[in-house]
Amino acid sequence: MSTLERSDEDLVAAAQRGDGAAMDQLLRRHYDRAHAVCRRIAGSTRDADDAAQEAMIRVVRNIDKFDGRSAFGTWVYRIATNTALDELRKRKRRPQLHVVDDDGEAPEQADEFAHRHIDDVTDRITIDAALADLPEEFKAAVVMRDVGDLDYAEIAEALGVPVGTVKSRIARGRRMLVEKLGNQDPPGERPISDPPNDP
Amino acid sequence: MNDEQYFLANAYLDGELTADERRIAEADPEVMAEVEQLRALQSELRDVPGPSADVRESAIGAAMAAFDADVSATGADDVPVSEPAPHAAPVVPFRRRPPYAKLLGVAAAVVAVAGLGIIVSQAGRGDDDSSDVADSAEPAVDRDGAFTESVGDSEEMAAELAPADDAADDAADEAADDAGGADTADEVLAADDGEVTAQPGADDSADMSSATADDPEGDSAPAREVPDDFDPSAPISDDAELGVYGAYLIGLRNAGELPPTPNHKCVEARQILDEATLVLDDAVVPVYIDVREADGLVAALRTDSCVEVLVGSLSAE
Repeated sequence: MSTLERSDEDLVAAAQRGDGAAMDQLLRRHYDRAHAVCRRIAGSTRDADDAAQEAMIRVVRNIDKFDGRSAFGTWVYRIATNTALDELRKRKRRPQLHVVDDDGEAPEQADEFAHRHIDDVTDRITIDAALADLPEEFKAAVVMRDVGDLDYAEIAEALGVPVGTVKSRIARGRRMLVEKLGNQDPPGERPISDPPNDP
Repeated sequence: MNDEQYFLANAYLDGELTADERRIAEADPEVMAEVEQLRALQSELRDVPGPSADVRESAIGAAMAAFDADVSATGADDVPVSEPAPHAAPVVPFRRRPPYAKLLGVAAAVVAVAGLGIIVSQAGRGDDDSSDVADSAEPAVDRDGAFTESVGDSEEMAAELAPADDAADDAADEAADDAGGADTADEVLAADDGEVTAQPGADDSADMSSATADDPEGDSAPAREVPDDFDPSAPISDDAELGVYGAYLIGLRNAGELPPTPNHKCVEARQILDEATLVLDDAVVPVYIDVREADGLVAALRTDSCVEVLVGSLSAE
């Protein structure tokens, strides 16, 4: 059986025994989505590059601790989420440098994609800007769900909160995003209470 | 649309409904309209600019370099490998490795040479200057006395803290073991990203570098060491980590790389050098880091109240 056809579980077991090819295959399999998670949380490609690299290193350094209770991908995206949040906090602590052009007007954009707008409506803010305004706990839940594709239980486990809280954070986070992006009714018209006990 | 419908729409989109609940959702046009709205948002979120091939290869190369180093360190390279690792990409050093380690080494050498110079110059003064030497030695004795007292305090504190350290280490180990499926916020904070093993006391002793100058007399507690991969952005979880953080800040200060001092109103603080985060009662709280070098201590103060919530030692004992 070639390495390409092996399951994550097999590759993890091999990597835990020191098999470099298996470790490499695992990283390649999950890097892009980990990077996407970092990109959405950190808000810029450069910070995502840093965070995703650090996440991969943390995965490698802790592969022997992974016990298979969750899917390997879940574990990786959780690490990516936390690493990106760390990156975000670190960035907030760094002095902000602004580069101005010859006209002295245009500050450097954090990301080359920062100007991309949804639809063609130029006065709507970007999804990155909307995410940047979201409280950390809402952003983490939404990104883990919508980008990392983790289910509620996995997110609850990752964040150390009950599933009901995850449900609430995702719903509220999405609502905030939609409102910020201008696709929905203005804030205040549709307040959200806590989620009903169970759908 | 009411809240129940809204949460139903979210759970529908996420595939978190039972068959009966799905039928209810699908029978409600308002819910399904909301589902479409949320689906569009989800699509936007997933439309992420991908990494470049270079970035991907660099990241995987750096991670594999760490893997190879770990395997070599543990001797696991004796294990037969199924096939050669395909990571032919150039191995890129982890680019966020802090630069202080080398600078600290230089600083230690400078201090050691300066100390040696003082000793030599005093020894070369001759008998005629003996009274001057005696005079000048007096304050030195005082300093030594104060220093000895300080060391004694450190030792007492270390003895008092030892059980707590052990408990904290045990908890950290346990949390690290649970990295694949932590159940509590504590465990997640400690283990979900491997920060526990990245912290002092991990298996990275080979990468350790001294944070402060060696004591030329050799009679004080050794300075706390800062691992090369120390991550200052990770929440501090115990007094040992706080001690490492203090040593890290001293290293930055000695290298002239300290960030601006945070604005604070903690009048009792000796020397607040930085702001960090601390795991306190299952929550991560912002704290000021107050470095008290004369006492060999570093303290964490709540930023909202300036109350001291944790003290660590700058020495390794």
